[in-house]
Amino acid sequence: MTARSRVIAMRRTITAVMLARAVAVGGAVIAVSIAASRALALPVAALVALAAAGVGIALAMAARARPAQSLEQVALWIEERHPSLQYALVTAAAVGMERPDVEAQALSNPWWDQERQYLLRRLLAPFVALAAAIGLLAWNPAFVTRMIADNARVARTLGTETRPGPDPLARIRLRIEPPAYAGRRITEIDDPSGADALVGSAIIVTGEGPGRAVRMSVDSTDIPVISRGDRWSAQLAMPSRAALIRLRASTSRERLIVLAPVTDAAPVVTMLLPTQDTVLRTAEGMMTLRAAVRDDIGLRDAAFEIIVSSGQEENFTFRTTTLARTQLSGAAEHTLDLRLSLDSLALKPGDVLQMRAVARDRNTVTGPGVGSSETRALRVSRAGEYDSVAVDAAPPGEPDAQVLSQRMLIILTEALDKRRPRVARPTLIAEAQRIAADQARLRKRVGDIVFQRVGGEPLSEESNIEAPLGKMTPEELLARAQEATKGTAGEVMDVEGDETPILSVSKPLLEAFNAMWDAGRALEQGDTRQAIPPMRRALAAIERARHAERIYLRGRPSAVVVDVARARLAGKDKGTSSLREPRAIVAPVQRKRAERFTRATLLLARDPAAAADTLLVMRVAALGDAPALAAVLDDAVRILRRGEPRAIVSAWARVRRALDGAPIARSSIPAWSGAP
Amino acid sequence: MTDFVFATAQYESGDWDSAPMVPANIIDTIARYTSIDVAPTGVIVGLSSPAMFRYPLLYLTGHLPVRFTEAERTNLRAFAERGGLLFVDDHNHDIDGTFHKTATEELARVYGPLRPIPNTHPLYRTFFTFEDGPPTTSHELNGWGDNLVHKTLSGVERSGRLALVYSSKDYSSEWNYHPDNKRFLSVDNTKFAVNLVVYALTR
Amino acid sequence: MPSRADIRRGAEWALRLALVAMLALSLWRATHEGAPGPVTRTTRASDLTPALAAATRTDRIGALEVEMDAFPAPAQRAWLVALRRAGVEVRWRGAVPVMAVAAERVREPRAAVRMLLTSGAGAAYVLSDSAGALDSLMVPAAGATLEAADVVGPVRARQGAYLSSVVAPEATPRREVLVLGRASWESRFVSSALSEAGWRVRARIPTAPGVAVTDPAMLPLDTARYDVVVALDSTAADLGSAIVRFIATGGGLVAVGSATTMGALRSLVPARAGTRRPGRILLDTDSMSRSDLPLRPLEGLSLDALVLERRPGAVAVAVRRAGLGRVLAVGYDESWRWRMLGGVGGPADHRRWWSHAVGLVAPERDVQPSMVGSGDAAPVAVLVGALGPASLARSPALEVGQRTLPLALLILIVAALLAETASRRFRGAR
Repeated sequence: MTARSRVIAMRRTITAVMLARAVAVGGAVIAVSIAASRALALPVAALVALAAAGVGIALAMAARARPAQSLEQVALWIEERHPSLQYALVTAAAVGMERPDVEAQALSNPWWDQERQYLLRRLLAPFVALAAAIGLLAWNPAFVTRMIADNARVARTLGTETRPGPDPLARIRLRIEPPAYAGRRITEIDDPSGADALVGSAIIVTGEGPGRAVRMSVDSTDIPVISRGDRWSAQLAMPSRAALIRLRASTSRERLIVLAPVTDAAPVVTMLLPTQDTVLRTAEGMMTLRAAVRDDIGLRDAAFEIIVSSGQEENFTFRTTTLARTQLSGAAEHTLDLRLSLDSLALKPGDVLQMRAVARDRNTVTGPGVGSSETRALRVSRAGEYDSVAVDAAPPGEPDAQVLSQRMLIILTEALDKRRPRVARPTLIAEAQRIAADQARLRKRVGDIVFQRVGGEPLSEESNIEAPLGKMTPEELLARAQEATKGTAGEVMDVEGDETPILSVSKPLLEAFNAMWDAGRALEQGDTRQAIPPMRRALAAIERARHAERIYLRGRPSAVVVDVARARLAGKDKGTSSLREPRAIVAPVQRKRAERFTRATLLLARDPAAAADTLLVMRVAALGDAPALAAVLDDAVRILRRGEPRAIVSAWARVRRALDGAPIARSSIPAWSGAP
Repeated sequence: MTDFVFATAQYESGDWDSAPMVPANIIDTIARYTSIDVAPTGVIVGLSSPAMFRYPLLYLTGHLPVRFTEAERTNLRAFAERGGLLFVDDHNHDIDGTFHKTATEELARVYGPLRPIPNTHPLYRTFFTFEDGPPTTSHELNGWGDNLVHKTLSGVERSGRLALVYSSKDYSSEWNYHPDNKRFLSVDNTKFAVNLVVYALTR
Repeated sequence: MPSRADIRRGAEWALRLALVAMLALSLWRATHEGAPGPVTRTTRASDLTPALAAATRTDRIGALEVEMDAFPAPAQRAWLVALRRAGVEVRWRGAVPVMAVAAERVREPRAAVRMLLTSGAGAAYVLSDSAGALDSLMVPAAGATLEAADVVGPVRARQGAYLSSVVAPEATPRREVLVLGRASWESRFVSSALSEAGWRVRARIPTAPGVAVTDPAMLPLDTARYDVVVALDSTAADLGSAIVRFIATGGGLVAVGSATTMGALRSLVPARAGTRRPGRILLDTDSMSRSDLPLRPLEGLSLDALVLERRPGAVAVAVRRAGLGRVLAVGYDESWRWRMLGGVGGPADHRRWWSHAVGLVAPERDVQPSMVGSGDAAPVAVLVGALGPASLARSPALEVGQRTLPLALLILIVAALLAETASRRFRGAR
């Protein structure tokens, strides 16, 4: 081997060693930068600057290898370290200088072995530094995992590839398979903090690595974890109450996932026909029943349910029947119709027919959910029973023939008004006054309802209270009641001995009462044309009142007045004192939540992941009774995991307000300490 | 301070006024055994009316199916949350009767599931002591209705106190007589009503 | 014509000369700063520490003038005081806002924190604690309060750059409340309201002569067990003398209606309830509020009574101190109707009002925070107390250069050294 070829080989070695040193020193600087940024909580910009400095150092060191490209420079460097060569090596390295004596002198000393060892020794320190820096980083693997997962920006800046680590909880995937009856799509969530799913949904949690490395539990119940290929997997059904999945692995911190069950709502059923309760003299003919049903997921079937109650006092019999059951095969909504023959029910006087629609949904997991409509009642009146206030029969037909109603009075008045040009004045007045008498009677029935509510007792036929009442506004009525309670206006209205009564003044009925007053006065004078508008107003007002509330027409049982003074302590037996235990302090839940939130706040600065876990645990507890709090907690966890400092501040404030309520501000300082 | 007023609940369905003498009888009993200031007559108050909140103890009974309107349900929910106590008695005393089935279904919709009230509950010791729980009625002992002697009442608690007491024992029949006729009884069968009222007023 | 190598060498020499010059300047500054002389150092409070350090290191600074663009921290303030005592004249100027914040625990089981704020002429405050922002509010000249469920760490009230802070006292568990009243809805619902507010309630409710629903361990009545006695009516008469002793030793009493007219309590109560006025009659759509309740107007107010609530032409609630305790007289009758008929918010309002009423007369037992780290509750007062009033002298230009020159010199020296070394090494010289 000639001296020149030895120098060429040495040049290669020098170049390789210098490049290796550059890479090692640059890598060490980058690794130390990342570790320092974590320890000192440096901003991302500082980390990037430090990493760039590492790259710069590496490039600068690599640039120093450039002179080694010159064979003469390499030979001089060797000559400098081995003066005994007497420049023979430089001469021998030059092209075309092949003199044996020079060659012999250049190879007289085995400098190449010494220099190779020297160069290899120069590698030791940089690589030790690189190993130490990597060791520093590897000291907390969870940190590296989080850096890779959460701070993609840094990873991009560094130009490094994020590789899956050995942590089996680093990449969790959640698969939600809704129950078959729901017909909803399967969803998958990567790196989940929670899952909202229908009760009974299959929840499948998977991750990378063997199953034996992972333990999973839900509310302290262990869930088996199995291996499938190079992944682990565990499955459970969405419980009916909120729960917390805990995932543990020896090489990672605990991971929490909130299971938020979504309850399948019961069907909503609305009775469209009949629109209101009714009382009939005779139950004949056909009646239309119609109901609208709808469900959030899908309906199974719907039907009308009727109960016929017969009897009186202590003897009652009941017939319950289901009619028009319709299979709906998962439809979201449907309108149910039925033509019901009243004759077929053979209703007798006093019988009550109650009708409602019932629907079931397709929930096969926790259901079926059952929804029912409001109940409509149809009563067959007994002979001698006096019903009034224009009770319409439920089915359209002949209501006016069955009861003397406001509508009948309007028809009679309109007929009389048409005949008016052909009828003599005295006859007109006589007929109008007959209608006016009926109108007055009906007005009194309306008045009974209005003033019975105010005064507790209906107006008697002989009562002369009607005359001073005449037309009244609700406000006048209220003022009169106020006066009555102060005892300054006599016993105009007894308010049940209670000094803070509620007056259920039905404004529509009072309006009808007043309109009837106007109509009656016009009819008394034979002015049918003037009477008709207020009569129609009265009818409309009665309709409004009946839609607003049901008016019970059966009257009230007679009240027995007990002689309390006579009965006072007349009993033979004596009672005994009983224990009243101090009540347990209510609302410890709120207190516990507040304490837990304070802990999360203290954790926020030094361990955000732990703070997020605390909020997840709070969310599970809040899902049952404080959905608003659960929602803001979920929001806060997501923001916390994204690591946006400004958003965290506002999310924290929202959680706090949901937890404690908004602070109460007052623009004064109280005179007495503690006064609100 | 005004007197305690015994209130009967009026609901849209059914025969809410099936036991018209019960209020007077209970008022008489309250006066007879306690020093509680009580109004001499009861009142009737609609479950759909806001006036029901003036009477934190309400008595509801009937034979016929019970179907509350939405307004009645809403008011009853608020009534329970504010601390009212609803005492419901099945005048049919029939465990599978229509009143029982419909009333418990409706009450469960409003209050949640009904649970038996243990016979050690303070309700049975709050004035008179009923060691064996709710007193039996002659209707139970005679084998009428469902032919059963109901060992417990049912109920629902809110914040540690009863918000609903449901009875299948037919106290409505047992107490439905004029208070003057009490003198013909060797044992006053209305004493449990005192416990109900005292419990409502003190717990 | 000089070659490029000559120019490069010349530049290297120039850099060397500049280095020597700059080092000489630094040396000169170092030797001359220590020289005595009446130099005034002006600085901003927001950047006070370097000036404090400089004034401490050298005798050359004879006076320190602080522009108060923010309040100095307690440690900085103490440092200023120390400098003044060491002979440095310390002056300050600036239009600092008058602000103060105090924090107290509401004397109720939930122990909310009430912050009391004052302001010279009305200003917007932002309040925060260690967990983040609490709220912002306008504080009029008369002051304002903000009540939060709890706070974490010290409370900070910020007005622009000016900060005031205080540490809330620690909450201590409240003791029991004894409710005395006849079997009525009032007894029942007052007990319920207090229980729901977190008070531990014992009660005695007579139901018949010699018969009561009660707690057998109710007595003795002393401040070791009870915070407050609530007497709803005259059934408390038999405990009159015990209640008087209880109040004298620091307990609280809430006397309602006929309880205010009981003979034993007559000397304690701030006023007596008069003739009952019926409440407002309501339409079925109305909700009841406190002002709609029946009222027994309070009459014969004692001289030291403080009226807390009024109704048209009447006093509804009054309070006074008696012995070591406090007594609240309430004229409202049948407050339970407020709970039942007060709409959706009725129960909460009723509960809150009764809890407040009991808390008003509950003894103060909160643990005050230690003075160390207790914040800066009234920074203006403390500032004036420490440094005296503000100087009226006109503010000269701040000596920014004094502070920035050493750093600039250092940067220049390092840069020149690097440039000279790099140039020399890159051309192959050692």
